[in-house]
Amino acid sequence: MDSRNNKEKWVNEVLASTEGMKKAEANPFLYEKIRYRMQQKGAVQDIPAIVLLSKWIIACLVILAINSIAITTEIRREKDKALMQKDANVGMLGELGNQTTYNY
Amino acid sequence: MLNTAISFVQNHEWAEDIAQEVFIEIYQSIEKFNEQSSLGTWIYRVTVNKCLDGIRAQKRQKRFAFVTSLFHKDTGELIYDSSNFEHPGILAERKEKSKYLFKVIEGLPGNQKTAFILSQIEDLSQKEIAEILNISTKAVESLIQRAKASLRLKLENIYEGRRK
Repeated sequence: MDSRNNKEKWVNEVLASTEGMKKAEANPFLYEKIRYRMQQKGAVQDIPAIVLLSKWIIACLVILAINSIAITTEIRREKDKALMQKDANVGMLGELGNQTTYNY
Repeated sequence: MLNTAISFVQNHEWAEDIAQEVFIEIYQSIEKFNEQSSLGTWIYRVTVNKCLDGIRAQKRQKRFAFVTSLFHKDTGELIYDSSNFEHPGILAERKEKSKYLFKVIEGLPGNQKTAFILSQIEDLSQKEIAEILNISTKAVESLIQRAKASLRLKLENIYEGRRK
């Protein structure tokens, strides 16, 4: 019974050990560190929106330009290929026309 | 804010890091603050979330670290040793007993820990805690009761262990 009372008493004292406590004080340099970090963060955020938008627009234009060049190059290549094929066919027909036919 | 963080992470240096993070987040997000709650409630909420995130991250690191040093490589001191944590605000005559309290608080689940710390250490009302945690006051009351019951049981075990 006595030991149980002692146990209860000890547990209650531990649970009550935060009574009357004061708030922890911050290191004076903490505020300086925070101010420094906030200034750094502020510097990054000071880039105007228009600058960021311009960068996006330029990036999109570059991508469009590259795609246009690639597409027109491909179209030209296809055209040249078609022309070469046509010339080849015409040449073949000419060759066949010149051949002498022998009727045995 | 610092006081809350110290109670959660049980390390002054780490708590100062968290306080810095909280200040920065408040500074960056102040425009998004929609005044649905008070500024103090919002600051507490951010602080509690940062503390719990930090504790979870530390537990994950411990889980996946196969070989890790327990000591600072420069000073040789234990890294984040909370087993003998003394809260700087505790009265001198109660420091020894408070070490046991903080040791068992560390083992509480996140929501009970939060409710207990905000109630017993930060001295907030149940209504204020409910606003911070975005739950009902009944839920806060239940969390605090469960936290106290759990702490009592752990402390009893510690007492028995000390006697042997």
